[in-house]
Amino acid sequence: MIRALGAAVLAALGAVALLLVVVTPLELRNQVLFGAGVLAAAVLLNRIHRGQTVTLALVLVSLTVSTRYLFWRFTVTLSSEPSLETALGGVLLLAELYAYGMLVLGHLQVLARLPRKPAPLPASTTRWPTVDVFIPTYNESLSVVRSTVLAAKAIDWPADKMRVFILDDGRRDAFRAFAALAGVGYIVRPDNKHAKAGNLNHALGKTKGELVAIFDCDHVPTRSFLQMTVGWFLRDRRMSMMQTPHHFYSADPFERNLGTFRRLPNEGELFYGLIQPSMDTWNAAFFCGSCAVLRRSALEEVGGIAVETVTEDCHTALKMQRLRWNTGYLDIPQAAGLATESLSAHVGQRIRWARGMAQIFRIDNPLLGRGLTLMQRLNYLASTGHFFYGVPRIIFLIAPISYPLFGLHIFNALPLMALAFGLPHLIHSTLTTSRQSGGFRYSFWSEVYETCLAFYIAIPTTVALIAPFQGKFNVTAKGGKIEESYFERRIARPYLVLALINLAGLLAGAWRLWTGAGELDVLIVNLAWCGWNIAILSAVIAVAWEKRQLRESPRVTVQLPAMIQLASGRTVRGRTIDLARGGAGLSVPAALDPRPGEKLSLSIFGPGDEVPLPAEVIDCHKGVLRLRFNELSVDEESSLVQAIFSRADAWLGWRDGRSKDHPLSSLLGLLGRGLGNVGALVSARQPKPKPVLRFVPAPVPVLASAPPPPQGAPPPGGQP
Amino acid sequence: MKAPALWCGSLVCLLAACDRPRPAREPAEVERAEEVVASGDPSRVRIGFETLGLHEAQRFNTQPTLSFPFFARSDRVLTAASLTLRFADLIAPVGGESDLRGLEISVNQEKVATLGPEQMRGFQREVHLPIDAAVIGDKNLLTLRLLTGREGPCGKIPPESWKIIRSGELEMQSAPLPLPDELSLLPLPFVDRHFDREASVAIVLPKAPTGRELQAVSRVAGWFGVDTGVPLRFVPQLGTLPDGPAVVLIDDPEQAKVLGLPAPAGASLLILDHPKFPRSNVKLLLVSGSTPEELDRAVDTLAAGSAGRFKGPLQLATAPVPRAAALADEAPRWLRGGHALRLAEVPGGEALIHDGVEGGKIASTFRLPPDVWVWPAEFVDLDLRWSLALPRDVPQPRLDVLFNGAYLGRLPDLDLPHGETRGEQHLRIHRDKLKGFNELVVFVNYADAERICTASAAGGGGARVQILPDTTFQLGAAGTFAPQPDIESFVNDGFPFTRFADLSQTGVVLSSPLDPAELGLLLSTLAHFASITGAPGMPAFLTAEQALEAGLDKDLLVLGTGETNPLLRRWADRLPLVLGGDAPRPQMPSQTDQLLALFTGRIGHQELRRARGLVAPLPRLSAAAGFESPSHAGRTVMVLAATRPEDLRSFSQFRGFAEGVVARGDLLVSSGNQRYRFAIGPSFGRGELSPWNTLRWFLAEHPLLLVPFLLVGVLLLAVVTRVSLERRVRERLESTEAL
Repeated sequence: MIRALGAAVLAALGAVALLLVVVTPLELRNQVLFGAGVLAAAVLLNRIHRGQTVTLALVLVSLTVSTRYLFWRFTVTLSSEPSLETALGGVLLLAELYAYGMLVLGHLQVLARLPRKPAPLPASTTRWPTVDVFIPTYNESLSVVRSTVLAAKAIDWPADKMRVFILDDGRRDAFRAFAALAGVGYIVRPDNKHAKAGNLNHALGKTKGELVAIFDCDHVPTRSFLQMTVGWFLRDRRMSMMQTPHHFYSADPFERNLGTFRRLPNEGELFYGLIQPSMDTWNAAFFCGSCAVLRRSALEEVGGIAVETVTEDCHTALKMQRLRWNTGYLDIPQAAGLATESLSAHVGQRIRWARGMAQIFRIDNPLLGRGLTLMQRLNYLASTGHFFYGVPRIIFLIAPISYPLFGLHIFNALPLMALAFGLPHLIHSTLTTSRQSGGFRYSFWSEVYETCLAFYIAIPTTVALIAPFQGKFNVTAKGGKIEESYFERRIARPYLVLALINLAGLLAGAWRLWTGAGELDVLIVNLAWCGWNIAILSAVIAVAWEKRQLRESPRVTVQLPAMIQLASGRTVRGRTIDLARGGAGLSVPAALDPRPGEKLSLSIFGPGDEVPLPAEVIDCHKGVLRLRFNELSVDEESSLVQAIFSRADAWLGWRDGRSKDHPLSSLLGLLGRGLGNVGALVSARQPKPKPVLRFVPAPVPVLASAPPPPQGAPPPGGQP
Repeated sequence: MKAPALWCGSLVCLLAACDRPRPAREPAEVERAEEVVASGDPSRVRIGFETLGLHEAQRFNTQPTLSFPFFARSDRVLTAASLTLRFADLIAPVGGESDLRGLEISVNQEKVATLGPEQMRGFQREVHLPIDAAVIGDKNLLTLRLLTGREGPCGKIPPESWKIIRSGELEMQSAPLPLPDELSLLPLPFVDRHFDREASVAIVLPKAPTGRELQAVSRVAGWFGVDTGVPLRFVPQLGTLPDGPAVVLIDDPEQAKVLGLPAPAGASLLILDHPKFPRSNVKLLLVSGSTPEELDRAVDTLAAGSAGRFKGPLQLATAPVPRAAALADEAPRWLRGGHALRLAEVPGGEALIHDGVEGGKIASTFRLPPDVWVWPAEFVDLDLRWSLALPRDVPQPRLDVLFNGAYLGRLPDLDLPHGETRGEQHLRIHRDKLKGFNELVVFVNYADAERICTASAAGGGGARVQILPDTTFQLGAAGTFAPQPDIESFVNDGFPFTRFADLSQTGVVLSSPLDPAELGLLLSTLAHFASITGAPGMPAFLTAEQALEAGLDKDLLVLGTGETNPLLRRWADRLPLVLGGDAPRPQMPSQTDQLLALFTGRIGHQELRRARGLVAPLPRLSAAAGFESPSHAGRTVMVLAATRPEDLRSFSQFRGFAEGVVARGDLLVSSGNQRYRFAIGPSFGRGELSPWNTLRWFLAEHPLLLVPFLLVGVLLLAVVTRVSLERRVRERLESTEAL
């Protein structure tokens, strides 16, 4: 009690001190001095200590400086004069207010990661619960789904306590045949109502396992998946869901087109590496549609998977938590999948997320209703509110042209004052975010990710606020390939327009500077802002230059001992360099010189039984042997899948070897990539842009006869 | 006598001159007066065209005719004049040589000359034109009419046509006009408030003054300050009369005898001829009594009202005039702060009108207590209401609003411009722009000359713009506070001394022995204060010992040099400037002070460097410097000092533009025409602020102190949060409901 009281007093004193800092008005010179002093102190703090206290202190410094900026904006820069400038200024302020709100919620969301470890299972398997493994699919190719099914079947769990089901909303015979061949269940339903959620709910009615593991059809689980996750369900009887990261072993469009695959954190790492574990601290981790285990009784209590929104996963978790169920997140990759293979697919997927989260915000707002703690509400608010960034981002992209092009002052303050207050806000939020989340997303990359989607999610999220039940579920395309590089003009068009608008602003500003037809300081600030926008838009446009992707099944770096039996009967020891469903790369003795096309047999000493895989030589050069697998039997394929995907440690160490985030070098790298790509795009003589994305047909002839989804019913499948 | 060439040349001045009192002109007296020769020679005066009114803005005037009034001082009569014109090298502004037809010069509508193009052409051509004395009167109008071949609508000429006149001078010769011995003409002969832009007044004291006599002479100086409205320089003289007009204070009949003046007729005011210049305009104002008490009553009589109350040469003080104690921030010329201030409360605020379709401005000036404090708010809201009455076809004028020189905005066009329409616009005045003396200006500009002329020609007169009296400055939330020292506020508003208009909270410490130059500076300072408040004040005169007394609850005005004033010697280490030694130099603060300045973000350190660079080349200077009174916290000491006593001339030397980096300051250095303002020392506040706002203000003045505040705040919260988070993480991992 005394300790609590003491803490409250200290916190109150601290809060008063910060309040004083926020509300003390300063003249320009003094504000500059204060800003410099705070920056120096923050940089020093950042350097001297890496502990959590200092991180929290820096977060508070950043929030205080940002709040001070906003306080200044509201108390000084607002104009009540009824004019166009006032109206536009109000719009800009609203955008800033949103950004500030998300900054606060964002910092709050990642205050502390929960270092959750797998809970051990009882020694006796009789106490282990029964598990149904669901693999929903709709229109994905069988080649994509096969690995998932085979790997799921190989999960280490008592055979009598685990059943794997393909939930085929495409109702395809090839899938049915494969299920029979692989020895897994196959569930179809007469309609596609409520898409993926409906598919899962239908399967829930047909099965009765105590727990349900759900994998998107391209998410291949490791064999340890259930042993890692289920322990928590035994330890906590109110545990309703245990989520694991969505790990991608292929490059997403950003990584591929900007050449950052495995060198920089991908877009999802911030969420799965930092946000989910931190939300877990507040019992606010939520279901992400795949790679998770759910308790059937909890699902039944909330009426199954939520169907009211197109992000059924998050909504289901929210519903369960409103009924006091717990959720958990285990930050150990226990499955891996394919990233979206094109920018258009990526954008489409994010539109659905944004629409779904906006729907949740609208119809089941986490701030309202019963059952949630304050921190759960704030965490869910941060997650749902995040997707409204579209409109504010567009405002920030357009705002700086108002003065150079139209002579409108939308910021009712001296530019130097705006800089004196605004720059500390921007610098501290960048530095603090880098410290807090630099390991999971490098500085300034959010600008690119969010700008790239801003135009496309602005309307769906706004519509969802007004008419939350509009829109339908769209399936994310996976497992395709891009045979030729091309410029995705359709996606890039709005950003080309925005870049041109900013360029016009830049030129108009330069003209004003040249002719003296403008206020120098206003022009300089706006031109710098236009320049920044152009730089970010360049990176976004660069992403739209789709690089070719010839492999439908990306190679995965795997180092396992292997034995190669040549056609001559000679046996050679080797070591895998990488593996894919279609082939392998091996390190072999340099003296080995097989002929291209030579048949051989490859045994990989992986997690499963040793099954020789028939293959043929592509080439062998300097001790690196490239093989192509011939047609594999189900057992052989299963063995290969297990070697590639099923090892418990398959995806550990994926982030190893990355350099630390340095905001400045990250910025330079980003600008270099963006401007470099745009430069190359402008200079290259591109053939007429032509998307050549195509899905590799499944090796099952009946695919073409798969029935189309019923009109009006959203198709299931894909990942959230 | 005052120096020549101090003329007023604006139309406003002419209009004012129409109503000014003028002594009766009697031939006999003229003859008598012409015999008099006083010190100086005011008979020949030259006025440059710039002063006359042909300033830079006028050169853009599109009217072909410009008129400039000129007249002599009220106690003089013009006898002759001549005009010198210098032309620009190029005639291009009027559209080429062929467009220039000439320049017509008239005085009082009588043509003096018409210059042809050939007379105006040539490299820096100069023309000298005598003006016939017969056309010159008391009030005169010089008219220049530019004849061009390119006159537009309403006879307008192209802009910049008037640039053809590069410069010029009007030389006037005058003769004295005899003045009767009449108190009601005061402040004549000392000051012509309509003519003089500044003036000197000689003040005679029979002997070194006592404190009481100093108070009396202070009030007399204050009365001049109130009544004349121009900067004054006082020239005190002890025991002798100057060869010119003077104010003489006497409190002993013997003193009158020594000066050759009539014995005082009790407490009285008397205007009479200088004994050395009988029957002339060289007058003496005798403020006298047989005893110090009677002198006080005579001074009270003078101080109680304007000269209009007096009649004849002699005014006897009948009864003691009660002196009401002044209240803080209340002065006759100040409007009250702390409430929504309507223009109706401002003198003239009911009639802020611009008539006609020519451009112009509407201006309203007013004084507020200088410690009206709107901080921490950044702005004062101004709800400006105006009305517009326009004849048909006259387009709406552009109305731009300025406050104390800062542009506030443009008033929007109104929906129904024809007939009278009212508008209201919300504007914001930055708090730094709100001063003791304030000026609201609305510039009226009709842009479309052709339409306007057409409308005017069609009988469309009657255009009127009025700033309405219910225009309101939202000062309701303003408090009373002022950062000190504030050299700018001291120079312009006399603050903090003027806070009590009677100067009852002011103590003055002079050198010992008193230097007349120092007394002159004091009197000009007090006159300046009185011109600000509208009331002559009477400070307490203290010795250095009295001023050093702990707890002395007064603001102190200290005059002298470091060597002559004992108090300055005692507080030399507090002054931001060292005046003694070979040359003045900024005072190095103690190392503690320097460190404090560095770590709190006070500007002093940088300002000190700046001061050292600027002051070093100035061997002689005068300075005004302020600091917190060592005798009483929260009180201000303001020092008016100079390297030598003779450099203490007049308070005017501190007025005018001073080059500074920050708004306020604690040191003003004046040397010749150069003035610099610095903020070197610490500041303090006085007034009424809540403890919370006091803390905020202190931090605002010491911005780097906010950094430790911030760090302490974040570390406290970070520690508490971390402990709380650790507990939360533990709880989460120790699952609650195990099977």
